[in-house]
Amino acid sequence: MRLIVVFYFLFGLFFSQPLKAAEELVFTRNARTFETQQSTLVTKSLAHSCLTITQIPDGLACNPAHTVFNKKPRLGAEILISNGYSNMENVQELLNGKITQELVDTLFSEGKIIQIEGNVDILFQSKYLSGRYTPATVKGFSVFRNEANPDVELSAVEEKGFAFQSGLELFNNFYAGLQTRFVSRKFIRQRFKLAQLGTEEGKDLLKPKEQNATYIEPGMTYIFENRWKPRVSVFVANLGTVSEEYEELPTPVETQFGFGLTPPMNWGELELSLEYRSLNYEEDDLQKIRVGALYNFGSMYLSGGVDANGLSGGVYYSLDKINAGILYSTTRLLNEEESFFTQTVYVQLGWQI
Amino acid sequence: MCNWVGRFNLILLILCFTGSSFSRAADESFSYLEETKWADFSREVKMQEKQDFKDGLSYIISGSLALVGGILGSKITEDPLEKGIYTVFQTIGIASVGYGIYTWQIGGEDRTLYLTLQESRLTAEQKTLFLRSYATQKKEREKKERVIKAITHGLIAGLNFYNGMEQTNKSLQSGLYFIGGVNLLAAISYTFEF
Repeated sequence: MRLIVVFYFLFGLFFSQPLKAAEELVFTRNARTFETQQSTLVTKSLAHSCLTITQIPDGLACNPAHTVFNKKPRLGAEILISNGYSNMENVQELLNGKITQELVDTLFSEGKIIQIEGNVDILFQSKYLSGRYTPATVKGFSVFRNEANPDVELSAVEEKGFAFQSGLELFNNFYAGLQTRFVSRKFIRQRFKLAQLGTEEGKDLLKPKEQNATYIEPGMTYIFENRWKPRVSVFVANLGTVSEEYEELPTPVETQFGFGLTPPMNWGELELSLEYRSLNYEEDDLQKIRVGALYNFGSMYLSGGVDANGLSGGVYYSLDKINAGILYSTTRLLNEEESFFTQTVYVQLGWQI
Repeated sequence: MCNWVGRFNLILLILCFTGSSFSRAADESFSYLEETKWADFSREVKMQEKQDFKDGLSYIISGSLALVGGILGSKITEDPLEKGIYTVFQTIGIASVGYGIYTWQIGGEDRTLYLTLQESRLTAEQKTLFLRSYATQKKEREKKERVIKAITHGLIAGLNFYNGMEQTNKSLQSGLYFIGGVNLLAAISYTFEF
């Protein structure tokens, strides 16, 4: 009951935030897809509130200090895709610079909202070292509005790379770890008037930009001795170098904090987390607060999360070699001074060998 | 194109081979030592049996939920991708129920060994002697297994690095290097008994 009250309070707090005027808007966005965040279905479901979650069942831990909690080694692949997958090819063509009038018409037509995310990950996990190879991930989001003088918000990112994690229990209940990420990105992130596309200066609007980055990100967790396993986590994100800085795709160094609990239960295991972390690096302090819950019972993982971007809830099943999950999340669309919500569905299928 | 398919199959083979050894790596629950006593082993197995019942029931219930949820979900949704996932839920659900019953009713290798010894006419001392001998054999077997796995993973790593160097497609090259790296780490871990 207390939990429901806390969630209700947080929900009210987040969504009572006054909406900014259209001119001041950050990009309209999907609640669980972020340009520079590579995340699995369960992580998304937790509203990315996962720094204190000891084990993410479908991918690498959000905090490298938790590598030590991997119970047994595994190697597998995960495929994630969201609704709007029919636009995947169009977004890829856009990112490859193959822009035709037909593509522009398809992407930016009256009332059209495009949202797509597709990931393929090959994962290796063990107690001492975990790794992820992402051959490709595509994220696309575009909104068309204002019939009289059409306005377009567009965000498309293609990313590939490696991530490695290692962790150790340095002292009693004190865990520290390091994550190394090598990322190669291609992206377009613009807000423009549709009429601009026909002009000389508008030609570069849809030109993809490229960025290579190397991040070395440390993390730590201290677990207090108590039945509820209260724990605090700290993670330093984006510590490293980028080939070229872009204002529209910020990746600043950020220190993130998390507090987690595992209430004792007779059946299954519940992990709760309250965290302070940015995902698009444009949020204010209150918007950086996220809450997530993960419940494991047998082969089932139920997860949910809430943050300023919206709500999410999912179910994920994992049994020996095969796993699958589905996640429903909100999408917050900022249309001048009104806001409305639509739904995004993610599905994920994985195979462990 | 043929080359691509060939290499893809190679990756799959490697993945299957690599993974099958990984999944076998951590199945034990009782640590057999030369000082093992029948009474300790017996107590451990009985505790494990209770845990197996609880785990088994968890898998049966969660599997049933997956089956029911999968059937309902696939009927409600119109999206083919969602339908597909709900169908997979149904499959996992049935498999989970089966796994739960297996865990509850059959359990691990230790339970079989315990039942065999319990039903024998051996004395407690003889059972202890048997367990100690079993522990020695098991240790030997694990040692040999580690050597075989280290060599196998080392060879797979070498093969993937070689194929990676030969490959012109960047994405595939990175994938092969990744699999090579993973296998190299596995080979090292088996060699040095982490």
